[in-house]
Amino acid sequence: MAEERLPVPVPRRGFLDLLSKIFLSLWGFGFIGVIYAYLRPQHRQVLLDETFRAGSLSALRVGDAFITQHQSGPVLIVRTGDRDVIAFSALCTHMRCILHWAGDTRTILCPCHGGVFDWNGNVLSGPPPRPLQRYSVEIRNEDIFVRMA
Amino acid sequence: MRLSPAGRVLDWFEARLNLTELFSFLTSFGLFIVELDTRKPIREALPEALKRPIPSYARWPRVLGILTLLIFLFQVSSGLLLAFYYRPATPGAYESVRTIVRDVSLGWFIHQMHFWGSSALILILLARILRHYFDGLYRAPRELLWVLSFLLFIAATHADFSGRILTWESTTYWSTTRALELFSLLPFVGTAFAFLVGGSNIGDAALTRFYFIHIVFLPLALLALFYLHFLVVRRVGLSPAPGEAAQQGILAYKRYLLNLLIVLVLVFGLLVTLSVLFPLPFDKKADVLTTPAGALPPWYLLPAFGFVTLTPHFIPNPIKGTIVLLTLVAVTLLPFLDRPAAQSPTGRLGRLVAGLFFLLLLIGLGLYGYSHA
Repeated sequence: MAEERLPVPVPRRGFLDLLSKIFLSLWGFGFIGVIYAYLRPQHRQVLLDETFRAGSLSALRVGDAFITQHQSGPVLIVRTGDRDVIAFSALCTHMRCILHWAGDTRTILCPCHGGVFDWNGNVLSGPPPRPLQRYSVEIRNEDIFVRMA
Repeated sequence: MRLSPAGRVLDWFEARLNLTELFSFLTSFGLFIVELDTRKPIREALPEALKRPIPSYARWPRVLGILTLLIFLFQVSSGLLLAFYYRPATPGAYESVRTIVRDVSLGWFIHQMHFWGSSALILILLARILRHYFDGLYRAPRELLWVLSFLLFIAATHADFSGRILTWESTTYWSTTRALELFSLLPFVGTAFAFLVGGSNIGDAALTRFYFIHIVFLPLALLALFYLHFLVVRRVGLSPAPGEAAQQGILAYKRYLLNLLIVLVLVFGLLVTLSVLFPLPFDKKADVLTTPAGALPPWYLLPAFGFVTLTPHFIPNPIKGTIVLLTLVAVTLLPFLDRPAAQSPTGRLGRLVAGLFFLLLLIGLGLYGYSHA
């Protein structure tokens, strides 16, 4: 290629080159930023400290359990006595599978990797690294209220 | 002969797959304009192709072609982003779009860009067709280029059309209903459209079908058309600007890519400006049981709409529909209908007059349709 040879380097040209590169990179970063902001999980306001009605006491026999869905995750509710009800996060602390209540052995089982919890939420066996998160329960009249905290 | 590591990697792959073919395919959307000899290894084929003289590329008005493809790719990416939050069901579609434009950060921006990109795609395809017409570029050997350009235009309008209903807003919903009324006049096409809508009126079934057509069928069709289009460009060469045919040179690829980048930035600048300064208002949810007054079909259907309303009532609708359909077919087949005599100076004048007349007729009908909806 027969390029015209310039006797001295022209700083202006290099500067313009740099300017256009900066300009183009700004566009690139801008687009990446827009896509990131758009796709990032949108934070819905999770109401902590919220107490919600999980169900009625009469529908649940002693020794039985059920799972209810709350905005911040599934909740496992176990009736352990006449007016004693306990509530846990129903997510296994290992890989977040949904736990279920085994009434005959009075344990909480994970179907994915065989984790076993007792009814205080402590790990009995299996891979779960932590005990279950427990929520406080309040019985008002015949209704079960769980406080998410 | 000692090879660099990169060269050795290239050779390793070359022995196992046809890199020239792969390169040829990947760049066949306007990035590489010259045909490659796919029987040769890429190391020989590429320098050979680069030495072939072609007219300089990125120059008005030839940028229009690559521009349409860039906008199409942009539409695909912004559409993918919208699909992250969109839900195609009748309770839920409007709400999910409302979530996008109201709650998701910068969702309104993506939504507006997708809308303006669609209009830009149609307008630029139209500008390109007009340019090809007035420069007489639809004649041999570019007949296929004309047909494919026009089919691209038709497919792009359908993509826009099928996208409008998805938001389930009052304006777009009733605009689509008015437009379908037009389609139902067409012989054959009308029944085909009823088939697409999946019932007698626009409901849940129509939404699902339009969604599928919008996000799968039409993008694939457009992509195939673009591919064929650029294959034709590779074979018959770039369309010369008037009085340019003699200027042949070797393409400086680096400069070409740089020009492409500049064009890209300009177009996105325009789209961002339009999206921010002239956003399409987000309407209330469509009430299927109340038709608002003054619903208009999309702008590109207004000439046909004007034609149907302007022509006297004693002409049966299927005949009106046939006339519209035949006009479209005639425009598609223009290269085969035009006599070669048109190459003479008087012929050129005739083409100019005929083209301007047709254009003014379309605009007039469009304005009539706009005011008499």
